[in-house]
Amino acid sequence: MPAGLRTRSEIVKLGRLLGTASAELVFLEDVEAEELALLREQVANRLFEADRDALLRVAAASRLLPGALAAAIGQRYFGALLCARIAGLLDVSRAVELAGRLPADFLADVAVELDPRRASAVIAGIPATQIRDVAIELLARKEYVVMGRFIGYLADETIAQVLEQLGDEELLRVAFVLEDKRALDGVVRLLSDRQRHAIIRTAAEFDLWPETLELLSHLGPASRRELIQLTGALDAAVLDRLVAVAQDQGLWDALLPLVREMDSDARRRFVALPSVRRVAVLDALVAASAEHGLWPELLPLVALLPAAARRRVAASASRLERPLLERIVCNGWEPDLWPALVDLAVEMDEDGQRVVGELIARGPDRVVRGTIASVTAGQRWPEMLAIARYLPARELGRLAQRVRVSDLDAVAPQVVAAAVQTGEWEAALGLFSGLKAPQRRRLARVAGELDADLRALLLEQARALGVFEQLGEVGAVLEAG
Amino acid sequence: MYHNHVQRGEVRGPARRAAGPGLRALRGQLGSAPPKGVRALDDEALAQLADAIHGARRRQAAALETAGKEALDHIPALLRGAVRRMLR
Repeated sequence: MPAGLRTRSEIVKLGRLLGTASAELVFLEDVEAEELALLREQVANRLFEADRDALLRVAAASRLLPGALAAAIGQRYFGALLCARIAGLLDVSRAVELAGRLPADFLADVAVELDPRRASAVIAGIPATQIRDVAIELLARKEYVVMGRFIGYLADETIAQVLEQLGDEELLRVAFVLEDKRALDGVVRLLSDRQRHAIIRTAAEFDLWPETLELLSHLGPASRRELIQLTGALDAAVLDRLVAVAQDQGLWDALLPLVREMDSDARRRFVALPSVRRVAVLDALVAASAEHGLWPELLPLVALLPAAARRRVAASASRLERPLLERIVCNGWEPDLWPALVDLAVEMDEDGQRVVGELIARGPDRVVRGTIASVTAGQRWPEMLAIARYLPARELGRLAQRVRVSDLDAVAPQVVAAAVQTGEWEAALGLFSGLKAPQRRRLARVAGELDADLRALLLEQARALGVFEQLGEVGAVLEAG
Repeated sequence: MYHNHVQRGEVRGPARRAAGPGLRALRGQLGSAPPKGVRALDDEALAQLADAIHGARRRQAAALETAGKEALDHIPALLRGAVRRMLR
């Protein structure tokens, strides 16, 4: 998910642990979130271990005192920070008892300082109603980071009580900083229908799209699909704003996969947005797809774009380095993506077409056969010949030789028809003349079933291009008229 | 080419960078090497991070000591001796 967002969230958490404003840690903005999480763990361990012996002594001494007195002394003299450190060193039942004697506002102070990993049993032992009261206090202080750290340690029943207290905006803000992202799906499933709808409404109203994208990226398939469909149904103006945010904050790697999951009507509406057709946005889509391997996400959308926008995407893709183009081709073998890839390749400049053609021809068998099968199924041989015309004879032969003999019944008539339509006879006959003997025999049979006019045209072109001899028995069938 | 400009013994990149005072201080504060991405920061940033951790540790230790002393004054006389012994 958006790396920048996760990093910023980690800086906030680290600042809190160190008692430092996150603005003073701005130099950490280029560090990966995962590395900052490791650093935060190191710091938390160090702070805990530094005074561990003294903390253990305090925990042991507190056992000598009646609960009410221990709680009062803890609150008054030790304060929230030290109580938080000591909490995990107490017997669980004693810690829960002491917590029960402390007011919610002080427990909220403790929660701010507490490392929940070290006191998970204590957190789990505190009654749901008391946790709810502490949550209310934390929400009043806008302590979303603290809430986010604790949710993963609470029982479902307790989470449900906490969720009832969350306003729609608060819900998103907590979700954004949720430490244990695995808990997010469970949290969303505990939401009422109204709250689930409200997440998306709130994202639009308060411009919390980065937070929402973060949330969506961590949900299980069912919850995610539901929220994505709600997003797809938003007004065009709201979706334009989502596009603007994704563009400004570099969030296409998060948004593109979600758009692909929209139903076809919503996807069509999304692609029809004026904001999506801006040149800068189209270029950013290509760049993000190249960087993050998101061609399977982008290609279906490209197919829906109007011609001018598609040409821009193709031009942008043409400028990609060869290894990145290679990645498109290797990703494109998903059967439903080939037609879109071929359409895109046709719009590329000559160099781009040549590179894509070569990559297909030199690709593994599954790539070649996948291309041919879907090009044939999608009746896109005119487009395919437009790419093939840039390939040298050797590459054309390589491509042709890997067509299955049985596939020639469907492929060959389409290739001939495409050559008639486009005039790309050189590419078409280059493919035919590269076939091996068993393939040629099959082609001869197919050629015999073509209309006489087509056979005559094929013969004329084969002679004109000087490849008649290479067609072997196919030539004999053509000559027979 | 870049390598043509590298003189013998010259550091070639962050991976081979000798530990500066900032990195040494941070390692000391953490008790172990910081994550790779953090080590790649410039030395001044590392020193700043080390200072922040040092400050947090110092504040925590001072708070603990003060709290122990103040708390003892408010513990009933009957228990104070036992608690004091446990805190030593």
